[in-house]
Amino acid sequence: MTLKPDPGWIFFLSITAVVGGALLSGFSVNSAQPALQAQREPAAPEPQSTANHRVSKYRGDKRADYAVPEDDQYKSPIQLALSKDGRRLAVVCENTDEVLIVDTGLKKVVGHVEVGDHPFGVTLSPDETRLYVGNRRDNTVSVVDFSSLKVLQTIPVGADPHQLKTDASGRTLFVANMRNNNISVLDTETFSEVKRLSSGTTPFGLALSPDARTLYVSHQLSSPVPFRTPPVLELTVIDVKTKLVTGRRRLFSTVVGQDVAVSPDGRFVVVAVELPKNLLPETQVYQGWMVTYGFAIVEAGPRGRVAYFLIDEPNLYFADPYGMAFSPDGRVLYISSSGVNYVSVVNMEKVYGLLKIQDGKFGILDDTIRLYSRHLALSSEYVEARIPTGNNPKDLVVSPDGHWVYVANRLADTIQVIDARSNQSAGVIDLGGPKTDTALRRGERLFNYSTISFQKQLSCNTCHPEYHLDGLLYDIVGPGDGMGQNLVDNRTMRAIAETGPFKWSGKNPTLARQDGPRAAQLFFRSHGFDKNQLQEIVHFVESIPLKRNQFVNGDGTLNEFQEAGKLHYERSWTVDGRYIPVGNRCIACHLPPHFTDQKMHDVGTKTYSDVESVFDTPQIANVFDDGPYLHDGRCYSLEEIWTVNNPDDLHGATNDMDKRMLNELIEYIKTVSARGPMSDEELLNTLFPPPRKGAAVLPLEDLAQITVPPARYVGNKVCAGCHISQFKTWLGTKHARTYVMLQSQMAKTVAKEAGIKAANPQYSAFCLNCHGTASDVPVEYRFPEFRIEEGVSCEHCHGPGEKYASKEIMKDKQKAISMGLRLLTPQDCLNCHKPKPSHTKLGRPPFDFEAFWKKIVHGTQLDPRKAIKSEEYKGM
Amino acid sequence: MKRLLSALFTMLAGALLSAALLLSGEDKASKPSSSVPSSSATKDSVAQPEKTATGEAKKRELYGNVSEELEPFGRFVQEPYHRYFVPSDAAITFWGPGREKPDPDVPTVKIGLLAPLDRSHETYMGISIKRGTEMAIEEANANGGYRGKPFEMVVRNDSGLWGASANEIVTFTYDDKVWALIGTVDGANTHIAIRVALRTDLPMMNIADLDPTLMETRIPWVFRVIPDDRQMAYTIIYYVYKQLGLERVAILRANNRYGRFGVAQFRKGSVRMGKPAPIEINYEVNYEKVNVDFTTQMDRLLKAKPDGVILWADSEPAGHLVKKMREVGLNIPIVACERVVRPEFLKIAGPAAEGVIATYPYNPDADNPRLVEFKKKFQERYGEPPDAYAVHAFDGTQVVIEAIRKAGLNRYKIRDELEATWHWQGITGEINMDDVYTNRRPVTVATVKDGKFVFGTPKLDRVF
Amino acid sequence: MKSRRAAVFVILLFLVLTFGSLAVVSEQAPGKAGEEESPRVYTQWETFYKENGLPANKVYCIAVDGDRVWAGTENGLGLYENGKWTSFNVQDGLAYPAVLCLAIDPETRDLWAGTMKGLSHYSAGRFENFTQLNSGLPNDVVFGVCVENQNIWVATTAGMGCFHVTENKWDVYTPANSPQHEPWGYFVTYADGKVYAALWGGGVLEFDVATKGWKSWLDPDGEMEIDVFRDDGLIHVITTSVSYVDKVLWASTYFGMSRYDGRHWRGYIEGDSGLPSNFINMVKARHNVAWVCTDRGLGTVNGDTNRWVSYVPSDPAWKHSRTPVGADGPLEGTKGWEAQIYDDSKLIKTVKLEHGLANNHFYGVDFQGEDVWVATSKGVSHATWKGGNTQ
Repeated sequence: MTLKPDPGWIFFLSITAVVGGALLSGFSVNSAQPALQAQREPAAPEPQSTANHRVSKYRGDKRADYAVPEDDQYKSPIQLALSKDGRRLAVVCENTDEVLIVDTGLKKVVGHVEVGDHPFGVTLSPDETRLYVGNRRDNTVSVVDFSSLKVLQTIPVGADPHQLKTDASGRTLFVANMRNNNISVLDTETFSEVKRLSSGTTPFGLALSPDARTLYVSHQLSSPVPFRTPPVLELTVIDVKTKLVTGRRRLFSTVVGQDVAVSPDGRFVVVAVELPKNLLPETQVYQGWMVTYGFAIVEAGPRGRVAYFLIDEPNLYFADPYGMAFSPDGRVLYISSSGVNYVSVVNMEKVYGLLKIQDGKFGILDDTIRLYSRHLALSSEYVEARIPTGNNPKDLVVSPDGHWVYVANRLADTIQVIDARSNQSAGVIDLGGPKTDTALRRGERLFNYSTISFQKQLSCNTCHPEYHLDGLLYDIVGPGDGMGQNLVDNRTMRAIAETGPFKWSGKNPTLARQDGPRAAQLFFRSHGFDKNQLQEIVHFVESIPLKRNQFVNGDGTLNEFQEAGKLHYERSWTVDGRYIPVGNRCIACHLPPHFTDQKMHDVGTKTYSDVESVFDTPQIANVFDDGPYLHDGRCYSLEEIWTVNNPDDLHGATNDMDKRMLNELIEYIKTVSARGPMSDEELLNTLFPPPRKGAAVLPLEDLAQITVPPARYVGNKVCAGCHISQFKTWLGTKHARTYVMLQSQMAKTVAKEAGIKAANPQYSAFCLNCHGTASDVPVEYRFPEFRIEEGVSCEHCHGPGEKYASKEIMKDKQKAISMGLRLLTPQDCLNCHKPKPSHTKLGRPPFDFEAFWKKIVHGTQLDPRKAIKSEEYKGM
Repeated sequence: MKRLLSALFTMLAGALLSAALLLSGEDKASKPSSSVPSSSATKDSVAQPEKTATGEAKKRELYGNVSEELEPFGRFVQEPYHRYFVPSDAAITFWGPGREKPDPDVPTVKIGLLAPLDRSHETYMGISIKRGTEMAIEEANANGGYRGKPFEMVVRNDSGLWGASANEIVTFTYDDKVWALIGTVDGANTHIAIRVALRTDLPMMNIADLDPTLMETRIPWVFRVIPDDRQMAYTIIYYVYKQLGLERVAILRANNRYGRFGVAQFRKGSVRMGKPAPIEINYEVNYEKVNVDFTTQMDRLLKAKPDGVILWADSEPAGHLVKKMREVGLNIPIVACERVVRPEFLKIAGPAAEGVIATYPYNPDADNPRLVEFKKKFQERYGEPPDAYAVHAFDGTQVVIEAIRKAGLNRYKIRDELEATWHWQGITGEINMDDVYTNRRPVTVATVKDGKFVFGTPKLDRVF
Repeated sequence: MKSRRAAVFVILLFLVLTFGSLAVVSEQAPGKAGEEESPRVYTQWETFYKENGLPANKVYCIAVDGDRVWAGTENGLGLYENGKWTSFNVQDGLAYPAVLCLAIDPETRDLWAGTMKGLSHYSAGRFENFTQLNSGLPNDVVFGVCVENQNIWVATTAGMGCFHVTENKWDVYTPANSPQHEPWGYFVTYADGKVYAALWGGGVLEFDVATKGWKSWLDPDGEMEIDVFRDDGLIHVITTSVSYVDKVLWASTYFGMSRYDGRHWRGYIEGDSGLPSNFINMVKARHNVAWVCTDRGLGTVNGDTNRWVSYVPSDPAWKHSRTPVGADGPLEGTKGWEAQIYDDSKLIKTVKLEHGLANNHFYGVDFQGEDVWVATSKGVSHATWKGGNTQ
């Protein structure tokens, strides 16, 4: 049930890693136990087994900080199912984990049943004895007796079950497992899973053909496509009798597919879609062309063609189409636009007319289809009515007699009733729930409502469906930016509280900054949110939780491969025996609670479109769900980050691994989910394992002369023991990676030009004067724990610690200084930070003391600016 | 002694029934009948003696020039049930189709070279091989190439990241469309390579992998011109046990396939010689130069108190190991593999190297005019004398080129030509192929004297 | 030294007396040979070459999916449906043209194809590719693939992998974390809750899916160049394929074949049985009959009776010369084909075949009800069984 790895065993494992190393893990178990107990206490509270989305801390969000009781009482109706007689309407309420039964005659709630965590999909068995409900966070389906409203059974299915449907007999139930990219086929008598069918990416909606022979599956996301490539949604065709996939249709240039419906005559299938303009810089929005909304219409039967129609108008958009339903006679199609609170009524006869339908086939050329798919004015031809609804209309159903349309107003906690004969609203059915609006509720509405943007073009939800991402790469160019490139790999909104700075460039220190002027200018091209709105939406975004991590075992434990991977994640030695500096270990930058150090690092991923080589360290909780990867989305799989994009081992040391090890590492990374922060003790034990016997000695070449220091070098661990926060600051700076950077191709070129003889700059005592610490002292002057490879480490600036680095002495600053603790003067920095012709290649800005000082300053105790007057160092 | 005894028993236990029948059976020519109830082997074999799997039981066909006393199970069974890699067994050959394919018209005749050229502890070998092959191809082109068309060398690295070596052979076959492949050094990569070659029908000439098992896989597409570690091991066994009369010999080796299989025959042979099973100490191979502290290995050696050490390692680690051994006072005979015969070894080990003996696949000091000529050219061109891999690469490439010239541009016919090449006069000396197509020319030895290797010393009573 | 040898001899003698007599008893068990016509003699063969629509002549593997047949060739994937072949290649989404192995998921009817550069998943017209760079696939050269429930097992040239399709998880096995003596996977199959792998140089490996336990079989004599005793265990460690049917394990090598019924091992080599050649690319059993794909013919043997029916060219080149060296043009089939029927190693009958097989160099075999499909170095052959022998 727990949504994160239990901190207990994480700690146990890190201890294991420390004490035993990969081979000895067994041995360290006992020694780790007591510490493990101690560690449990401060860690995050255990989740309750039910309704765990209410327990928020451990899910990396701040909901608990903002939520008031009402926030847990809103119903948030989302999906609907209507009985054949049109009387009983089942309403799934995702926020209260219940299904409400509405009597459409009495227009009131007449019953309810508690189901699993965060229910979504709902469907009735053909004989209407049962109601099937998919629970998205439990990964189960609840089988409910439709008359007694008792839960008969809970069946485990895949991750994130979405819509579901039974066959005509009711014997078989199909469930779309949104985050498994497959369809569970269940036997409703044995309540067991028969098989899984492979679908497209994130299967969303299911629709059965009138003859009940064919099942159609719509998908929310496209399979990953390169930058400036149109996305493609799959429409999976399943033969209900044989339970086999018989076809896969491709809906081009579409994304965020939602509901799917089949025309009553069975000739056509329609899917609600977005048509994004991700091929061009997003300056389009001014011209009204960032994204358009409509539906794809597909000829049923094998190899049928696909056409696209928009429901927008030239200067007004109907953002985020969601629900779809045909009138029983198939004359009209109802589409709910959840971003603008409208239901559009599409006259299908007009649409068929435009398609020149001849015996079930389109009679027009592909060019015409392409023209229609972009034609904003065309909607006036076939959209015969726009009916306003309550907030955030989602699923909709039509009564069997075709007189009524019921719409779930998700953020209004009501059911919109529409009189289909007059296309007028016939009022709403109240579902209960608080009548006041909380700040979070208002924030959620802002997130979903496109009014904020120019011509109502888009809401936050448009590019972040499910509060997640649309998987596309955009070129976000501001008005001033001209046509330059500014690649953005869309990122999730889940559990991003406290992960600032934001955006891969780390440009935005806070969400308020990101969602405020920036969003207004670059995305909405409008006035943007006002002060209160901004706070509300920020609070809402900060309270979006992570989803349950499906890679961790149910009991929160890891399998043998993941366990092994965790050791690789924290390892300090390569397979071929080289020391891995702390600054180049996975755990150093991607550490709990959010698995980011919230710092900027150069991991060798700079590419043609980048100005800077340093990037914001992304949080990697549930990273398996966040592809494509790297700041510019160049990797479709986690593997590619290291197999293709880590040639110099700058993004962690991985090239010494074989595929087995890399796979273990990745299988572990997939299990990483938000957890309680690491205690300092835990961190130190992880980063500083005991030195190993016969450890690799860095072979120093071209060592000019040996200098005998006043004392011996003790290593970072001694300093970090007390100055942990300073150590963390240092770890986030380039000083911690100066040795690592010598691995780069660039370093080799520079070394060549600088006339370095050593084959590898990392062995060059000359380079290590600045890129390492104490490389020029006699071996015996370096403690076994001390590593030159740690780069510009504590003692590089503060002097060898043997004499002063003890609690007693450090208590007395003057004494410490007298024992060799160095107070820095700018001169100390300038020893290395001086103009170096050989380094001009790197295109680094000239050394600006103030700017650089800001990056490294840790505690003002030793501020060199105290040592001399300000004008002396200005402009150094 | 005890361990050995039990080992022998377990080895026998599984097989004793048939052993029994073998020993009790009076008709030596017939093969043993089986213990499987439904079997009727004896009957049949009597009915059709020409179908018996083995030859005359009296006559022993020994594979790999092995001596009688070193023959596996030699002293327990008079004749094994079946011998492979001997004339009486089916030939290792290719009976599939392909010879009918017509010669295509190509601008150049491509020959692939797969060798460790980057990110490997064996890069030094890769470079040598490349140079040897280069020179052979240039010489061939100087003499008219292939019917007027030049030979072209296509080079690929066999130690790329994430198991790339297998891909390289696929690329060689389908994208580069090479006619034959020279190379591979690392036992593991070579085994990967030959299996792909087998599936893609690509002739492969090995010139630097001494792993005996490589040629003992019955793959008809792979050939080898360099003598293997069986010969090295047999030679060493006779030298250390018979000639020096040592009793307890330790093995110090690289912990990789090269080390494991290089010493395998020595380990087995020691036991067959009635000596204690050698204790085996290994070190982690690593292509970076950072691990030169071999304390643990030395501790174990000192504990073992051997009266001799067999050293199977790459030249650089070998240098450090020998140095350490002398430092800790292990002044016992060291017999090493051919890989130590390199300048780095002498440089690193320094005086400690004195007296170290190494087996070597050929005699570089042989007064063979072609060899002398080659060494001169090589020295001029690359500024250092060729090592064993360079010269064998040269010979191997020449064999391949000759086969292509004879067979034409058809991989199957080229394979046939290579199979038919039983003898070849190379710059390394006489090349004599056996039934698995590996060169069984006797190996030689060298001893470090005054900081350099002197070949042909010590004089050996018996070489293989 | 002396004492040891004496000891060995005593034990030897003892065992001779005990087991020797047993062996004699077992000899008297009546041989069932001849009583029934198993293996059958297939006389109705049809062949397919490139000119008949095959993507390429060199066919590495063949897999039957109901009334459809998939063929993995050197240059694409062939699908035989309603009497005609259609091809799939890289432009259709296939990972690489050279397809080494095939497996069909009985539940979803999806096809898994191991190529020389990646693993392809074909599902209802869509290809999805896994490589060593973009997934947990241990290596791009995939020699073997099989379906175990909802998991896909691969035997690659550098390790074994298990892909949990529904969870998108990879388990990678190498000698470092399993009792593989070598990482070079060659073949993998699933039966009765166990995954069996043939490892090049590593013998046969068994993985129990329920207990996650491993079992390994090697050649007891541990030598490459000899087989010391006939039935002492797996004949050789250079295994090429394995088949487990009706509780009987069949393993093929380039040095002959082995059969293991759980109690006894049985070895087969050319000469002591009807086995056409010791060089075996694949063995696959149907009930108690094993089909053996060698480089010089197709053998079939009934494991209970040791009755063989071997399909070989009549008077082939290898009858006359030790090697094909110098031979020009096709070696095989020029004088037609015949089925040779052996009682164990004794040739008892020869049946001339009206239609020959595609080629003598066999790569793979699969069964379609009573029918049989075989892949060869040059074309595909299909044998039909229409109730009873025609001769």
